[in-house]
Amino acid sequence: MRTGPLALACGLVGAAVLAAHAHAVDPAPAADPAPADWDAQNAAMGYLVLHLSNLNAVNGLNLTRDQAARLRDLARQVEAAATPVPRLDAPFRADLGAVRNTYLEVRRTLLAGAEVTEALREKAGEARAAQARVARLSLVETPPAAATGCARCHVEPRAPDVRAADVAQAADAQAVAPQWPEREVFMAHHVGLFGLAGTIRLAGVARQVDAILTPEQKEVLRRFSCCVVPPKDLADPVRAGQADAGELVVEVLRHARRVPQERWPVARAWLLDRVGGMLVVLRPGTTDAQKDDVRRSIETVVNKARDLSETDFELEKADLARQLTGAVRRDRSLTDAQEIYTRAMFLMVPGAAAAYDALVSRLDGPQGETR
Amino acid sequence: MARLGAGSALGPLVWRLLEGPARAAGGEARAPDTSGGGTAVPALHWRPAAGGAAQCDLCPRAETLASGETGFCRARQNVGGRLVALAFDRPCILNVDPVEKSPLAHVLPGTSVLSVAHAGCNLRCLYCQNWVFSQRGPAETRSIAGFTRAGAVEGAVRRGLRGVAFTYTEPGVGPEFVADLAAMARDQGLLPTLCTGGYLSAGPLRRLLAPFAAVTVTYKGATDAFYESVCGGRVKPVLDAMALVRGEGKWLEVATLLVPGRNDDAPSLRAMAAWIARSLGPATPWHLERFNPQFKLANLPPTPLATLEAARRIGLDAGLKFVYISNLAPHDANHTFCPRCGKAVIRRLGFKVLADDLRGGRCPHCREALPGVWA
Repeated sequence: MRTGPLALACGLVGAAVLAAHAHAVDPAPAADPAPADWDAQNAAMGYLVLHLSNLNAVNGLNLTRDQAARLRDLARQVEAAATPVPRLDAPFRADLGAVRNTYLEVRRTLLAGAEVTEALREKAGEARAAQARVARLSLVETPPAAATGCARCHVEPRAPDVRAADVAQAADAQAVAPQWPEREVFMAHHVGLFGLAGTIRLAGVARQVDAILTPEQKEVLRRFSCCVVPPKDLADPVRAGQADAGELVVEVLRHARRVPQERWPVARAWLLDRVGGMLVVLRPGTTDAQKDDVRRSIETVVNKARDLSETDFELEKADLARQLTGAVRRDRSLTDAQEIYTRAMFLMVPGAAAAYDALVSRLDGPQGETR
Repeated sequence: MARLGAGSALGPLVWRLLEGPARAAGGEARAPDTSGGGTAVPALHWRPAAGGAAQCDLCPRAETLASGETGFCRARQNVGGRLVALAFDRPCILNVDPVEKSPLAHVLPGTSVLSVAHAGCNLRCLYCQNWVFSQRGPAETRSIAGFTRAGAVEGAVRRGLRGVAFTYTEPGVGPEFVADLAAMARDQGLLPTLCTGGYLSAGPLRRLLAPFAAVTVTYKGATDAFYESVCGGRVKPVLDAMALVRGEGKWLEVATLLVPGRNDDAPSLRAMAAWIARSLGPATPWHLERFNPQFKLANLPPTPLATLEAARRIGLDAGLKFVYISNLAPHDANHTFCPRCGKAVIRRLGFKVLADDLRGGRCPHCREALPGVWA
């Protein structure tokens, strides 16, 4: 089982950090004078997340020079067929403009092969949360008449800056309708990012991409999901994609264990209330019944964590964390062909050729990477 | 919390309110130990000294502790003229880990073990990756409440774990607890393994080793200058410890964390590789670990890939047959290669074993027997 293609592909998977940064809002910079149209902003933000994910993949796979050069050649082919990279310097809404600026700062760091500092990591987390907040508030239950492109599902939030918005409350009022088949959503995001010709070209080179990778690199990409900054989990030396279930999830379980029994009903209600909000973005189209199922699964895991002795909890915490994460995520099996396509997608994002160029330069440089 | 959003930013504030004032001082879930877990037991390896002092013989520091004084390791204290072990039954970490994390590449590959650690260490490595626990004493960390050795062993057996690994901090400063738990684990069919800095005196180390089947020693640098300035120790006792482990017939792997600009120069690495090959044998696995900026050297960059690969080349050129790169993946040097035919026989992604082709410890291609603890 693995994360489904929608969650993998959708650059708007921001629920990860959504509630986490609910309070962390910088003073809003002045909005740009005449923002680009909503669709263009939406496409640019989706592109940036996928582009940064691509940079993290390229940096995290420890590619050899030969691999990087061969992938660069294929990336150029896809790029030639794909929709041009969205304009990233156009005026944006205040909230998305700030997000965009942070992402571009991350981009410069990743392209230079430099470490992402703690300060930038934190800033990127806040940006991701802000982007997720916009995404969540943009989801519509009923598409506007004659809507095309991204606007079929995402309409611009009414407020010009939603970084301080309480999305947990807003989520239920503006939930996406479940009528879109997942395949259609998947294709909409892909065609939106690559264009139809680019998507076809990507599918055409996918097996060539696959042949360049080692089994270990494929394994990294198999569990890869979108990430703005590379993961930093000392327990896992793989620095690409997001960890399956890290210490932070375990920390939530520890908190739950420390709540006295008399306060547990309140704590449980608070915890489960947040789950509904997260599902709106993480699993668009989730029905109320499905949300209830997820809440029940989470409650079961948390109750088990609370019931265990401390020794048993320490022995089971990683499994419990995986169960907790798994309850929220939409996991599916992918066919081999889907696996191959998805791997290629992460490595062939328009703009990837520049990332491979940068890597080849570093490998050829004075640091003398011996790969 | 990366995915559920209830563990950081606003989340902790809410949790703190919900947990109530008595529980609010959690801070990393490692508030000072008020659980009452564990008992200070009489320490091993000490002698009475004049004036109610206690002479500790555990490690090369050979400290004389006045009454009430705690040792450099923070795990031993003179209480009324008697040395007591503060770490007994007070582990601060219990984890289920891949055995590869120890690091051990030639011991039951692909299996999970119960990792156990108590607070304290008799070195002061400026780059310590576990300083939150190693640079504090057992009374300054939150121990596992209700811990019992029997319960831990039973839990490990019940979950199908294959061993118990003493790692993360310095198990050598709590030999009373570590040896006892290791022996219990061994008696229940678990394989006890030890990861130590090796900064221990010969007698105590020999006694500590008794229940163990496999040991990793961290050989931190080539010179006294490095050990003194970065680790607060000397190199000779560590060399002696590695030789002793080998002499006791234990399976031994060596690990070196390469700290940029501190211990990663070619002459130092050549000296270390040559010593391992000459004194421990060319079949001794050597793990070259990538440094992640931590503790007092957080200002340094992570070890560059080129440095790790150059170091590996040095190890192989010195005749070592198994030189691994750790804390960096994917990389070919995560794998185990047959020293005879050169084919990969265990393929890894970091700590995860993707394929173990060894058959009874032999290469499936050329039938070469690889050294290790395979079953």
